[in-house]
Amino acid sequence: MLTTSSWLLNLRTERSRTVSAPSVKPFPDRGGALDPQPLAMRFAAGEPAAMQDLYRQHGAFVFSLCMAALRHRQDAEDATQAVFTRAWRSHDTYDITQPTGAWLTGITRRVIADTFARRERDLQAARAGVEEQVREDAPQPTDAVVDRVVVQQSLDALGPPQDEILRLAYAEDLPLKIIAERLGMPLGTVKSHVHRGLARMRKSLEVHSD
Amino acid sequence: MTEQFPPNERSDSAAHLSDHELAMLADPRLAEEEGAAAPPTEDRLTEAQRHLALCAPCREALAATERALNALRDPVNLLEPPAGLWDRIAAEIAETPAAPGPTGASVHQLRPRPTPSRRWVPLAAAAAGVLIGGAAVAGVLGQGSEEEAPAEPPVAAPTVLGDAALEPVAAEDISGQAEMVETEDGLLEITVEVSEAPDPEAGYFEVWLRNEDGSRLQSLGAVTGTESTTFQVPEGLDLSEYPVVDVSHEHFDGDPGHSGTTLAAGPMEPADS
Repeated sequence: MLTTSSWLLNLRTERSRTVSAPSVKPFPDRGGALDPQPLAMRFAAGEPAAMQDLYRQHGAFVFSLCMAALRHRQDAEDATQAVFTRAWRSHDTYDITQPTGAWLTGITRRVIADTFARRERDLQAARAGVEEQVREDAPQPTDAVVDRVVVQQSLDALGPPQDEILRLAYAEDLPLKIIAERLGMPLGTVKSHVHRGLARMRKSLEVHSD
Repeated sequence: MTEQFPPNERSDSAAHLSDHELAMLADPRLAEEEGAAAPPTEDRLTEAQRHLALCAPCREALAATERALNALRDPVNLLEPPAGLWDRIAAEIAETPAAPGPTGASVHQLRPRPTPSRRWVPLAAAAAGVLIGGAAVAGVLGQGSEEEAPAEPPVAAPTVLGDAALEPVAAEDISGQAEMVETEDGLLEITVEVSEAPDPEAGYFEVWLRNEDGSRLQSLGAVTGTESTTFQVPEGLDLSEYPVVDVSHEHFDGDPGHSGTTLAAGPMEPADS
């Protein structure tokens, strides 16, 4: 249980948080080390205050996931709301050895699937009536969207210079040699950062793929 | 997992692929020769491929590495949820009692601020029990509320009418006490003391009188320190409607309503007479 001062400190940290991506670190990549953390235990115990902490920690992740998958702001907000209320209702099924973030990912997948199913029903209903224009952009498979958001978050959590190196190497698709020159590092150092960073990305994906 | 492995051989063909080998298989650029002195990575990769054919876990690990690469090539923006979303979630959660956990935590959640009619929703049955006493006191304190016309104020020395033990209701272990007195002028005053002072940067504590389910709230004022603070109860306030003393955590956000975060609360109990 938090002491008052640490709680107030948390609040302060929370408030000073900016919207810039690197500060969004909803769950630290614990590389599969699943030691139960206090929040997980408080949540499993059904402590209402734990819900807000859970939201603070994972709200941006869940919302980003819903936005990336649903590509519709209102739907994403509704889906995020559904994720956290479902989490609350079913907290007694939460397995405390699982990171809370991974558990929420599972719920988010189901909520996204439900939203797609509802859209499909609406579409069918519309088709039954009038001639309906077909939705053009077929949504990306949810699995791929989950991967992208999990990796993005894990990348932001890496910190420099690894995050920057991975961005340059893959998002920018620069040759490793150019990256080494640009950052003034030996090529071997750049490679070893890529190696370590990729291992972290892979492990965070494994945690969220259950 | 090892970062390095002996060049040119997999010492144990049964050993799983290292992070290093997985990355090189997924991104051939990492396996490019660095110079004449570099070890022959081709051979190592051939060995690794042989292992892969036989080992499902390593195939899965390689697949996950490739998924990581694909995700890195297609970056996505992480977005903060809109400011009001938590309030909406909190409101829905407040109407959805979860099974009480082993801790028997008793926290009150308010509806979110935008909701015009504010209500308290006790989330745990335990909390309701605590409050039952308050109703009885309210009857005492609020006499004159219905049947009788407002009684003439008794003219006497300050009289202690009741007190309240404010029990922690949030995760933070903040408690306090409140005492209600009637002054010589017949005015009601409440003196409140809390165990912790708020951090000014994190907001302030506010004292409220409310009914049991939180559908009625009367703000008394802010508490800034741990020394006792005395508030005057607005004249004409029907105390039978507001039997519970509540200390909330508020932010400097310009919103005069209850934040929904109650730190400590308790019913007014009649003074021993």
